[in-house]
Amino acid sequence: MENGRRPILAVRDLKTYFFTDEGVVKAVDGASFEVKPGQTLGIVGESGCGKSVAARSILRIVERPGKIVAGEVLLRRGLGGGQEEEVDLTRLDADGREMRYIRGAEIALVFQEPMTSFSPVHTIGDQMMEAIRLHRKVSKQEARARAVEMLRQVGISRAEARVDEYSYQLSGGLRQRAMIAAALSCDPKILIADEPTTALDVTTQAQILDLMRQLQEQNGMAVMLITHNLGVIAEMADEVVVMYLGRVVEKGRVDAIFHNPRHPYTQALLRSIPSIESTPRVRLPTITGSIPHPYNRPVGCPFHPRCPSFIPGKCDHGEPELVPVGEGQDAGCFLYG
Amino acid sequence: MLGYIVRRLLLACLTVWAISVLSFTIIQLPPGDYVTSYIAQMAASGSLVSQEEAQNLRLLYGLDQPMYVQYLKWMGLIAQGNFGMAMEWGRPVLDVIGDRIWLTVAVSVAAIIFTWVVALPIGIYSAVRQYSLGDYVFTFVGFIGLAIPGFMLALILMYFGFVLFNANIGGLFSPEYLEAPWSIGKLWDLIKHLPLPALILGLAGTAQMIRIMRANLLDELRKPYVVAARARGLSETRVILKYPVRVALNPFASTIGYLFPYVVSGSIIVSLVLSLPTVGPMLLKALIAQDMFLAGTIILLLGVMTVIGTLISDLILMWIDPRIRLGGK
Amino acid sequence: MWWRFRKHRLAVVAGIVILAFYASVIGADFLAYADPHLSEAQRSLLPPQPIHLFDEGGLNPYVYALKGKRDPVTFKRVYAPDPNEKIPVRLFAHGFEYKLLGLIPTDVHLIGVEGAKAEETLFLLGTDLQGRDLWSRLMYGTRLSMTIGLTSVALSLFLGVLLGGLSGFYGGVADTVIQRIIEILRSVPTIPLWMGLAAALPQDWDITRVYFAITLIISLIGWTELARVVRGRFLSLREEDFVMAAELAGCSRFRIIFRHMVPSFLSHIIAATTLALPAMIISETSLSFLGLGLRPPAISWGVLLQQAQNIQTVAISPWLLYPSIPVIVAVLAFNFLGDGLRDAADPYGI
Repeated sequence: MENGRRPILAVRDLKTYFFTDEGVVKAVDGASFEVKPGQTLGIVGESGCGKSVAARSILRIVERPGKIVAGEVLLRRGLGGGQEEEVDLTRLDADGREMRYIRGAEIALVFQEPMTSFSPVHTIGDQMMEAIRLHRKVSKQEARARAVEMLRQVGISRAEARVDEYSYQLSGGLRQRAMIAAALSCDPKILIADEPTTALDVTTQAQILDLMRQLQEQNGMAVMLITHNLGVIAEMADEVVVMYLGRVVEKGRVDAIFHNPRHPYTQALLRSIPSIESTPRVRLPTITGSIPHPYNRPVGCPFHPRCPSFIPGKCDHGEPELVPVGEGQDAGCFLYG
Repeated sequence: MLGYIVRRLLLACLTVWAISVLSFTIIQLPPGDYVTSYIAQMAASGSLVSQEEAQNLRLLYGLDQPMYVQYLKWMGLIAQGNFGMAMEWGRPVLDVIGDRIWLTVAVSVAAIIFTWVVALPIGIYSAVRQYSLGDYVFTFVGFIGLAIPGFMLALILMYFGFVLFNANIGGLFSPEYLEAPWSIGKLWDLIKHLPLPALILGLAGTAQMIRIMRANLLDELRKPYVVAARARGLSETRVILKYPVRVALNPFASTIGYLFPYVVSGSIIVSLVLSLPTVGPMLLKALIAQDMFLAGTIILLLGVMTVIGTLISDLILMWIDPRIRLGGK
Repeated sequence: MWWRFRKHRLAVVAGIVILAFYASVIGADFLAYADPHLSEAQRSLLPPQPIHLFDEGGLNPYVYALKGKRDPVTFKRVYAPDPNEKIPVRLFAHGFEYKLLGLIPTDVHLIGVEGAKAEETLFLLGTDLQGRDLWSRLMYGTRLSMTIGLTSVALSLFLGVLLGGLSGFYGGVADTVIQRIIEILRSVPTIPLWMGLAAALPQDWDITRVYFAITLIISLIGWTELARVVRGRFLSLREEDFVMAAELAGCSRFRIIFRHMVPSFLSHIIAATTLALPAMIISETSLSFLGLGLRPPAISWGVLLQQAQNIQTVAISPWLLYPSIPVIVAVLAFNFLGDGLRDAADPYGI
């Protein structure tokens, strides 16, 4: 689209903490990244690195006792007549009209659990139409027609009949498609997909990814794809953000990240992918150690206890900033700055 | 769905049959039989019954037959609408019971309505505002309701009512309506007097229901479809009321069926304390006086009433939960 | 599980309260100071007599003696405290005779009076209609009320585990049949049935037989809850992998049930049992209150409350309502204790 270079969503230094009885969990601790219109941003990292919480923070649906304590989430919106404005989502009232409109009509969320993402006692159509009528002034028949149309677009056969069925009457793959249909029914500019294929088998996974790519081309939508599966990232993403313990450790274009990873964590991740070409009967490389307990964050760089390039005296004292390490590629490591 | 209804009906019939057997057993338990008490009654009023007469009476009523035959005879009588004679009153049992059974129904239904109306919102509030002051207060009140048996609460309330307000808070009618025939005025008087018994009867059940609703809702609130609904842009109130409450309502509604027998039971004792003209006080007197036809019939009627109530609540549950309707799982 | 239980301070407090109750069950004779059966119509419905703690500048507890006077209007003998005669109250005083733990004859009680009979002078909670001291009767009442609950629950537990286990473990026909029976029993209103069964007991049975009959009646209807819990546990456990592993290792059915499955739901059973006790206590109290359960000369909380049936009497002598307090406290305590146990037993609890 016209504003190809300017990001449609910019997250700056986001910090979301959970205040529990046993201590403070810094789920997201200063993460910054951008989503460009029509492009796919992949966020990758191990479980617990804060990627899901970041997504929820953008939509302001973080559960208690979580709170956004710092940072900005800037959404660029059209006001009609060619005008534009930038809204900081962290400043909006989470339950207010504006934020609720943004949820669903501007930014939509699809997530991991196709089994339980739909209420078991309401029909799929009912749940879809509710969102449509919430964000657009249309009649019931029009909403229903739109819902059926969306189901058809995502490749669900007999959409007319399916729209009145309950979620338990559909298979896992169909449910995920229905979820995507529901998310896209109000034409959002950004689709956040949080582990959309993790619960599916490989064949269905491929189909869903194809579908997402197709819809993205059709609607010119930006996609923020969150996953721990590097294969999916390689296939779908234009830009990649690598997160560890709530921080962004590396980000850049997908080819750069995959062919030329700079941060030791990214390197270790890529090394641990089993490949057909690897030598047989050799141990799979793993990352030594395990993810520290959220209440026991290491001082300094969060990765230093497991880092093969650990520099004593430096890595356990200060926290590295993101510095450019290549064309459009940044890494947060003392090796580079 | 049809299968569900049929099964429920069958079970209901089975239960009624079981209750009839139990009632019959109760009638037969005390030593002696109807003729013995009849002889005693006659003797008390001065006339004697000869051995021959007694024997004839026994043959007449089939009292020399084995138990199951007597049971069948009793069932046969009931099918004809003849519930036997209440010995103390000397009148047919149905006459004596009269209005009371309907009043029992009224009080029980009022208590159940009270329970629903109070427990549902409080349960929802407690789950959504977990650990807030309101939550703790309601939990505490709930425990009180659980711990104090109905009749004790009635006693205590009556005591305070008497001492503080010099009022007798028992009874279902004001004095002028007590013996009067039914009219709109009497009905309204009844409704005015229902809240207190409904509250006393319903309190323990309410406490239970609040806990159930709170626990169920807490479970549901964590589920993904709630997050999905929120992510679609629904307001917080709508998200909670439309989705998790609706799902949590199912186990909540299914417990209604068991509330009915509990409330009917409780009404017996509470009616005694509050002097309500329901079936309870009459049952007690009948049992103490060993007026077995009266007692047995009351027990049978109470049982049938409860089964009907449970059946109705099962039907309501079926209407609420589409999973049962469609037979899916 | 123990330390998880300790986190629930409320449950721990409740546990201590329950222990205190049972201690008084054993030591009822010791804690009472007046023979609970000694009645004296002229002392009926006396208000509670407070113990005055200080006398002549020192800690010297005493009560006022009661002098009877004839009320000139009603010609009834009315007792009133006489401030001139003070009767000292002592700890570990002598009173009526009893056998400690049923074995050792003694006459020492926790408190008592010197130089007079406790039955005539000391009335901590007032007297009942027959002039019997309420405090002492309450002590004895605790004994029956708390133990009848235990025996009923034990019986219910046995039935519940047996039938629930059969139902859950074997499934199939046994399950359906037992399930239906449970459903039927649950939809039957309990109190009318109890009343009927209790009233059918012959009037001439002695206390012990009545006691056991009441226990039987209460537990015959109460086992359904426990059976449901047991069945539920068996059903979910049956599918667990460790059961399959045990079967594959060649264990006999019996062994699987008792050595592998039972320990994992033992804590649930304990919790469910603790929660079933208050219902039993309330049942017995209700029945006795109506006059259909335990009858005088047996003493239980329900029997004590029987005298409070008449609202006019209660209005004048509100101390007749005091026996309701231990009922409420015991039920609350059991509920809290059971909740705490259940939360500690449930690994998925918060």
